[in-house]
Amino acid sequence: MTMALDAPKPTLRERFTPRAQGRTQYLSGQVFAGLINALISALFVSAYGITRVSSHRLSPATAATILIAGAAINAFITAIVSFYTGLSDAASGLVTKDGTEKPSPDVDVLSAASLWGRAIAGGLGGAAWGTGLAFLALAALNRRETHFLGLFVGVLVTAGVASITSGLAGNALGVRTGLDLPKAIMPRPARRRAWRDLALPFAIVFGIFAAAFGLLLFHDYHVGAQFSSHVLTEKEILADLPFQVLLITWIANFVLGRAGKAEATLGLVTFEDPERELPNTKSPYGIQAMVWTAVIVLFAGGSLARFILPSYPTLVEVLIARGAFSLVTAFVIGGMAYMRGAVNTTLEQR
Amino acid sequence: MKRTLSLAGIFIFLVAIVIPFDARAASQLDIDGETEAFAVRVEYDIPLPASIGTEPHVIGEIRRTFGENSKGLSGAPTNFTAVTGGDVYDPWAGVNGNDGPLKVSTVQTGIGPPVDPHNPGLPTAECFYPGNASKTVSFPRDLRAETKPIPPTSYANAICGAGPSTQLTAYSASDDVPGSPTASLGPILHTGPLEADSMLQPVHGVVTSNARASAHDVKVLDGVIRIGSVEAEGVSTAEGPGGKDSTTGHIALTNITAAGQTFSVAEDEITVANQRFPIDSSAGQAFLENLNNGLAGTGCKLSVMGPASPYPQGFLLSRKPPALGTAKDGTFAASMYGGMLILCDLPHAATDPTTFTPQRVQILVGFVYSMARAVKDDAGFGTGDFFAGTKTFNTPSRTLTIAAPPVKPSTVVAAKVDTAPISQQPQAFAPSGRTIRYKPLAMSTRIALIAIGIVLLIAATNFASRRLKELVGS
Repeated sequence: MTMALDAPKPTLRERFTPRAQGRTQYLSGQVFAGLINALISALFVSAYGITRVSSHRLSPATAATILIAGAAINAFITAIVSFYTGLSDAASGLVTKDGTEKPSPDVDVLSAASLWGRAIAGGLGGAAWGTGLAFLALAALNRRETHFLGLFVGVLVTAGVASITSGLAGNALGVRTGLDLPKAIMPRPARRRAWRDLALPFAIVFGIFAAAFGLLLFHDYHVGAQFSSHVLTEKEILADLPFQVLLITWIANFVLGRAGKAEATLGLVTFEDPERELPNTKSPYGIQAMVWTAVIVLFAGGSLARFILPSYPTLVEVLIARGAFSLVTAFVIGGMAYMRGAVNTTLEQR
Repeated sequence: MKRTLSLAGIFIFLVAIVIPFDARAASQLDIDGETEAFAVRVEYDIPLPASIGTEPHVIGEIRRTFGENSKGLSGAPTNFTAVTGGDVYDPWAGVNGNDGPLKVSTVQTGIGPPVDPHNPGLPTAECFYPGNASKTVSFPRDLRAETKPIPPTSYANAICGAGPSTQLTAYSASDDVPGSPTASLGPILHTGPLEADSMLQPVHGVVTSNARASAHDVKVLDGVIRIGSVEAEGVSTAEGPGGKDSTTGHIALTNITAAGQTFSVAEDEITVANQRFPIDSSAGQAFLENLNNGLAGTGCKLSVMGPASPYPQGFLLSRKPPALGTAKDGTFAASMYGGMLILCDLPHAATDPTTFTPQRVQILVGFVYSMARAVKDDAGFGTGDFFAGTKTFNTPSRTLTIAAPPVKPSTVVAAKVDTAPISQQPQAFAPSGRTIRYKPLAMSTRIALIAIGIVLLIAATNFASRRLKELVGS
């Protein structure tokens, strides 16, 4: 009793420091985090959707499109992010066996086809779920417009449920793979894994999403109207480039950086040219490498986009430009992030 | 002692708060002033009533009762009524079925880039005192940073201040300047410079409301009807009980050319070939009928409006129908005048490029309204009322004794047309009907949507639950 009273109270930092958890407890925590994420995401998407239409009211067709696309996109992204979160946490010892886990089937769940195939399947499942609820919403709306609260509830139920479900599946698979590595998974060359298997599909996905978000942002802008406000101009559409780069850098580093770290921890990365790829320093790739890459992409890519785009671009030109910029940025940063995670972890293990 | 001092302190504090709100602390009159004027207003009335431009437009108001306030709006054009530019806003449409008659819906006309009615770059300025006391908007300079160096083609200025006073100015080089919000009017109406201004304030104790609007070189349907210049001006004054009040106004339309005739309209008289006769005389009526017969081939007809006191109020004014005339005791004066109403069936050449396909346009050329009021109002609550015993705060409203309008009665020529089908009758001042475009889904469609939705939800749930059972376990 006295011992308990004398025990120092844990600090805030200690309370939030990641610690090893049993598999079930870990997955429960991830579901709770997914719920918070779904709430914030639904608030953001519905607020953005509502602010981009006149009178702050959405037509039934637009509302249905947002419900379907939101569910599909969220489920797709979460499938990848949650898989590598689970794999990384299991590989680093933050998840322990608690007797509830099943053995991994001897399947290569890390192959590019398997990884992105699962994401597409998750996205399609999300789309089916979103479409079902969107059809019910269309019948209930009966051609009436909807407002913020209606859209928020709709997005929460469609995109939120889809992302939590997809996330739980991804987390569980990642943890299972990390705790019981299937023999079918063989080590892969780091460069090919970084750039071809992961960064390229990741970049294509980002490019498509950036174009879709551009459509949401700029669909109601006036095209080619010189004497009007709310006009689609080169300056207007490139105004948020720094924010785009920041967002992509953070997400790419979070997902693919973790992927490189986890796969290297599990011994799944080989280096074709170790002399060059693994220098004799402990951590050759610091965070500065990512910062400078992002800065170079921002200035070089931004200047190129400004050079190519006309002063008053069309909506199609805007979508292509923003999509291409995001694709290139995600590819460069994503590949760098994977290599950084894999190389630094391999060197630390030596 | 301490308690007494505290109570005294509280009493002094409360009195200090109340005194500034004393209705009769100042021995001034309660005053009101209102003005409105525009040179041209263009409206499509078929298939639905929608204004596509009022230019230039000034609307002012001053008031002093328990405090001073003034407000005003000037625009070249204003977005005040229904629309301007590529979107036609139909304020009476209940498109959505669930948001009542106040919902503003839009119809894409396809004529030029649509203009947001809340567009801050539109040359429309508003002021309010106390508050946003002054604003100037230049078009296209104030649209965006990139348009700053472009010389302005129109501007609007509104200044509201103590007194109370409102000063408004609006100017546009033309109604159809390329790129402007009313550029699409080009095939229907072209004008030269347009100007409007208004001033409302007490001058040496006399409430004075003054408004003016003018246009030059007005051409309807590429010259079917031409008007050399339009001048609309109105002034109302009120000195207060025992003093004088007056109101006057006129609309002068000079060098009008239509059906091969050139004439002018001013002071309720038509001047043609050095001859002058009253509008409502048999000669005036005959002249206008001959003129309209000559215009029949063009699809246009025109009528002269005169004093606007007998008109039913449609969407002509942005306020409820006002009282007009002068009070015998010098406390009130108001008048309202309309110029010429032109109705034209629109040729395909003007409407085919649009998706809106309006069939008829009505153009009101020249309008002015002014009002001044100064009364000694003993209603309200004063500090003395604390000690004056019982008092009725809600005193009955005053009934003004309105004398006859200070202008001679004039016949509205357009009112003669009443046997034609409704689509051909003048509707300038008629209330607009409500259009409902909301069509609910068919019951079979709703049932199909619900059925497909449920099937998809069951399939997705089944897929997800199997996957989760396999990966997570029970």
